[in-house]
Amino acid sequence: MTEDTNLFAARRLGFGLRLGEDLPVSPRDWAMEQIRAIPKLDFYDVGGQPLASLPADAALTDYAQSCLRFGEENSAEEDILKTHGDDEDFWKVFAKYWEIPHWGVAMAATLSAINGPGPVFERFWQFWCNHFTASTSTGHGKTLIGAHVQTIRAAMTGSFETMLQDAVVNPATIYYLDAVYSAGPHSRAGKTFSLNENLGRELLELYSVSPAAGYTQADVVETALMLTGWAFTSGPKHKSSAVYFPGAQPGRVFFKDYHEPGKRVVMGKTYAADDKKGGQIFALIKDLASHPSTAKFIATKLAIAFIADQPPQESVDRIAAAFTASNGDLVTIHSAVIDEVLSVGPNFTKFTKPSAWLQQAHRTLGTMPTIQPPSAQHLSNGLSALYKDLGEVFGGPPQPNGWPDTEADWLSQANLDRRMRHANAISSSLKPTVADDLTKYVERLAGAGSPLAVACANSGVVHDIAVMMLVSPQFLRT
Amino acid sequence: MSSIFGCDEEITRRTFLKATAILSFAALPGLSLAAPPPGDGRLLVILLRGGMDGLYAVPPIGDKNLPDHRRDLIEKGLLSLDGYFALNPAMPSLHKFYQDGQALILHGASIPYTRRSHFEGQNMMEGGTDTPYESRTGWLGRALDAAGFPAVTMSLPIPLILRGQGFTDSSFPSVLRRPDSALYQKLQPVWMADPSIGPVGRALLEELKNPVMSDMMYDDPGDPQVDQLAREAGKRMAAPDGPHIAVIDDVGYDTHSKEINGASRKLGKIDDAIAAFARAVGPDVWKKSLVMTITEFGRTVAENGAWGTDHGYGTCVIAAGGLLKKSGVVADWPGLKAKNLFEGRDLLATVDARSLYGAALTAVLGLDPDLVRSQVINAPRTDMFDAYL
Repeated sequence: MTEDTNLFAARRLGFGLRLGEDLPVSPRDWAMEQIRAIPKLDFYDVGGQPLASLPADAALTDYAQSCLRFGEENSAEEDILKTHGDDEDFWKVFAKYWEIPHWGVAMAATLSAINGPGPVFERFWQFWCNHFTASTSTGHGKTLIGAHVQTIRAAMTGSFETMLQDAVVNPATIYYLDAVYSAGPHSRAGKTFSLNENLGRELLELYSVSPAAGYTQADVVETALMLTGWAFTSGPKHKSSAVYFPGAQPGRVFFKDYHEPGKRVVMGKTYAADDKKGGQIFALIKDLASHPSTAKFIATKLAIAFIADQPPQESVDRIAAAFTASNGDLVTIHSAVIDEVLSVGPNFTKFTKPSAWLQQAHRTLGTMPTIQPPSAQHLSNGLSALYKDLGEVFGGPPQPNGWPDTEADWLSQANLDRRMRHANAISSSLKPTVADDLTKYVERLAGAGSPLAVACANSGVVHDIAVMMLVSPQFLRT
Repeated sequence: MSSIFGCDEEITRRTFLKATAILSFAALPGLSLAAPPPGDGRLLVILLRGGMDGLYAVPPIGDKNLPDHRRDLIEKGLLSLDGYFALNPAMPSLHKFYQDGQALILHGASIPYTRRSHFEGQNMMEGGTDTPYESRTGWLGRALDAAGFPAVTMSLPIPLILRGQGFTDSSFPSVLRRPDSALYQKLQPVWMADPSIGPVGRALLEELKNPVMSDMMYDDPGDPQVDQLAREAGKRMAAPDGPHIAVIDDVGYDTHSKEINGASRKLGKIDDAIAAFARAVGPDVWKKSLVMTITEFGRTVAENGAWGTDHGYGTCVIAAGGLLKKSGVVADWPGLKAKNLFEGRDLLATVDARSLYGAALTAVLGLDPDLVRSQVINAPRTDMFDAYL
């Protein structure tokens, strides 16, 4: 292969190397060190320092930042309305306020990926955010996305069981998968509300054991019944919230009045009642996390994301074995993925999905994505709109199975044209002084004398070289 | 001049047809040389991901058990169809087509999938298979391979339903401008060196020769609406050498809560899309066109506690187009008595929806029904639609 190992590792496991940059240590040491600690999710500049402040409207950006913190979403929303309620232009934007949290999350995730200290960590974190998709397409739920991705982030160095538990009994998930109003038929609230199966089903199908475990419709219903009562409250200030309960604290909360009392049976195992505290579902989650189907399902998904669209079974088996042997320790599982990528990964190429491509483009070229928030005049000019234009709304897939991750899902004529347009925009701010480094990078990526190197040499214009490099097969793939 | 795009090994659906026409015609039972040429119809398939509630879209008002299950989910001002079935008032254009003999509803139908997972269900809806994750190609893709016509998807990615051996165009509006076309040309040798990116790059370069400046036709290219995508598809399909099949990929039918707001709006958009498509193709092409919506499953007959419905089984397929010989609601109605429901909760599907998919392929593309069954999709009862297609 023409790519060297360091560049391959940096691109497959992280977001690539800057022009002229190399890894400071061996790829394995470089990657392993990053997965053991949780870097701050922040708005980093090209120098790796947190931005002093985001530009443009301070209230909007404060709001976006507050959406990254747990439980403050709705009070921030109320404050902003109080301050700007009479400002017509502001209102035009804020009337679509649900764009702002998405924009903030996309911004922080992107700047952490391209300029932050732990690209390998970010790559795995983005994988898990997508696995536990809790985007909402409408309304209030979108303001919870920041809390959701931070919950996933905080669980990155613990066990899969803890991440599963925190992700499922999480306001964004509860809201997204319609568990807010779900009530057991024999609960006090059961007179008014009834059971909603959505979260129970996706807990089994998408988050843990997968349909391969052979569960039945009865198991789905039992799981949904165990989840009843788990809801959230957004705090006393926000009275219009779907679930306002006076005196409750923001965040997740168990309402025993909604919970279906009694023991339950899922996949043949009986779970004792815990009608006052709602711990019954956690007993199930513990078993789901250690179910052999879960290890296999997660290992397959990781292998597809990091190794190949059709990964070798031995790689999947080794990752699954690491999962099982460590009782789902995420650092151990991620280490196993890194080892597979470094040993087996170079035998395959992975077509890069839009988010990772955009982030790698900026990291490589040392450019910044637009950091303007959506404006009243142009609601579609923020970073989140650029992700959407590329086909992958960041943190907002159309369905709860998240964004797909294979070449068949992302390679099409319209997609290739889309990457051209974005490469053109990304490269527009490059200075002629990067010419030498860019040429060297192209040779490092594709090889001297390759069609790409030849086309770039014939061009000689920095902007054009950068565009050709970003949309070359060598860069589109890792 | 010798075209840089004319590489011999390129397999487009048209060249694929040329290369295999003699072979496949010879291999077709019942298709003699005297048979009419392959159909010149147009088919727009709209994917309704999430599980469309057929009982909300086309309620069986003649079934006296309907009100036992639903209070809020029967709209007022329903539009009359055949007396037994009525149409949701969000779909006045479809109603007009029905009155004009140009709409068909297949009710109490579904793909043969009963396990209520969106993703298994959608895989079968697109793959056209008997079990989930059986095929890497879709039933429209295989039909196009057999018929050799071009196709377009009105989405960025190629959905599974259109994947086959050949190449499918894709179109979706962007908020960003293209760079200078010379830059695309310079990338030609770079793309061609890659076996799978090569054909995609070649098609893109081909399109740039006669660019369709469609981005400006959208109210907001960053948020294209279904009816605008349908209009764009119609414009492309009206061209003499335009695509014979187009797909629009829509989501948002998973109405677990507050269904009446969401589903009514979505059905209204589909209604707009059918009308926009008819206008865009024009009267002549509309005569040989069919629009069809497909979904992965229906929903529970009863409302849940959040004014919505959960995943179910039977639903309806909505079709409209000048290709239809007459209007009608086709159903072997299973009834809504508790004992008639699937697993005590869902509308039973008494007809395999793939039968209509197969009949549509024959009517639009001229594919022999036996060929459809053996190579494209298991469509057991295409004869059910002989009076309509």
